[in-house]
Amino acid sequence: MDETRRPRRNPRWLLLAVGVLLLTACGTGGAASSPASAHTNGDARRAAAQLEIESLPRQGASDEIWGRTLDPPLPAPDLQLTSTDGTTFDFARDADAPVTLVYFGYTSCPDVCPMHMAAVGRALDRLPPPQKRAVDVLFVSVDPTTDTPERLEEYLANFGPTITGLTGTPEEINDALASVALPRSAIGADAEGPPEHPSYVLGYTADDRAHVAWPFGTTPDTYLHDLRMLIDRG
Amino acid sequence: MEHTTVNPPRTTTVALLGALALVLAACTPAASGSAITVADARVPVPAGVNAAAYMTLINDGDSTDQLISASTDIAGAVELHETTTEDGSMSMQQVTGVEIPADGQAVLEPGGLHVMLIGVTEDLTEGDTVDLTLTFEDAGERTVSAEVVPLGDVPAMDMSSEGMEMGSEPMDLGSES
Repeated sequence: MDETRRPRRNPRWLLLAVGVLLLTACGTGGAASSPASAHTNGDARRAAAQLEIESLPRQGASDEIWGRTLDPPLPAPDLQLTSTDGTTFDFARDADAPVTLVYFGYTSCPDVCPMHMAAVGRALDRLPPPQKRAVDVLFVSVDPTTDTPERLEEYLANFGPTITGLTGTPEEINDALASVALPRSAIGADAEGPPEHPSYVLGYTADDRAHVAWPFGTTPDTYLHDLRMLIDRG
Repeated sequence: MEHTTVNPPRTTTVALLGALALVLAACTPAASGSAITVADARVPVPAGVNAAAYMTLINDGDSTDQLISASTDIAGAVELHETTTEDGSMSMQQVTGVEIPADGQAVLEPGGLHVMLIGVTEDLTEGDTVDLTLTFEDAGERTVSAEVVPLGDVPAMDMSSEGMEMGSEPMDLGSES
C-alpha cells in the first residue's frame, strides 16, 4: 500500500505546494520591504502567482492569444508617476487606450530590458496607424534614483516614439509593484547592484485588467499577433 | 631614390602576413589542453549607458577552461554578468567566470550570460565593430572583433524549450520545435 504514496505520483500537488510556499515567502518579504503590499488583494496574488511559472509563448492557432493568458487577470496597478513629458501619469485616469502594455525596467539594463522593448517596438512599427494608436506602452523605472524623466526619454527613443517612461520615488514604484502583487521586485532601501524586475510585459485591456503577459524572449511576431487580437476584441 | 618609394602592395602584404601570424598564434592551442575559439561575437546597439556583448565560446581542448575577464577601450568597465529568472522576476548578477567544458561550449546570449560593457564611451552604430580582449584561465588572452548589431536581433526564442523547466504544461517541453 505504501508504494501508492510515491512522491512522483502527483506532481501537480508538488507544484501547488511549491507555489504556496513561494507565495508565503513573497508575502512576508514584501511586507518587510514595503508596507504597501498590505494593499495587495487576494485576486492580485492569485493572478501574479501565474507569472511565477516560466513558459515561453507558442505560436499556435490564429484565433488564440500566444502570450500567457492570465486567469484571473491582474488588476490595474495603483500608479501615479511622473511621465517623460513631465506630467503626472495616473493609470486609472490616463491608461485609456484599448490596449496598454506595462513593463518594469531600468535604463542601465543592457540585456533584457532593451530586448523586450525592441520586440514591442518592432511589432508596433508593423501595425497600421489606426491600430498603432490603440496601443500605449508604459515603461516603469525600477531604478528611479538613476532614471530621471530625461534619461528615460533618451533611452526609450531607441524603441520608437510611442513608449512613455514613468518614474517616481522608490516608495511610489514599490506601491505600484505591490498593487499588482509583484513585491519580489520591490526596490530595497539599501539596494546594491542592479534592481530586480518582473520578467513579463503585461497587457492591459479597456477593462483595466491584464489578461496577457509576455515573457522575455517573446518575438515581434507574437506581439503583433496578440496586439491585433486584443485590439480587435475592443 | 628607390628606397624612398613607398610600395603600397608590399606594405599590404607585410600587414597581411603579420595579421596571419597573429591569427595563427591565436589559433595555436595552449599547452594546457584548452583550445578556445570565439564565434558570433556581437554587441546590440546600446540603448542606454551600458551595453552587452554576446558570443559563443568553443573549447576544442580536452580540459575545462574558464573566461575570467574581459576588457575593451570603449567602456569604463567590463564585467561578466548573468541574468537569472526566478518566480517571474529577473535579476542580473556579476559572475567570477564562465566555464567552458572540455570539447564543449558556453553560449553567451540575451537573458543568460553576457559580457557587460559598463559606461560605453563611444557612439556605437550598426555595423561598427568593438574590440574585446577576453582572458581565459588556461588559454590566455584572445582579442575578438564584435559586430554592432541592431537592437532586438536575437534568435527567435518562441517555441524553444529554453526556460520551460517549470512549465505548467509538461507536454510543451521541447516538443514544439
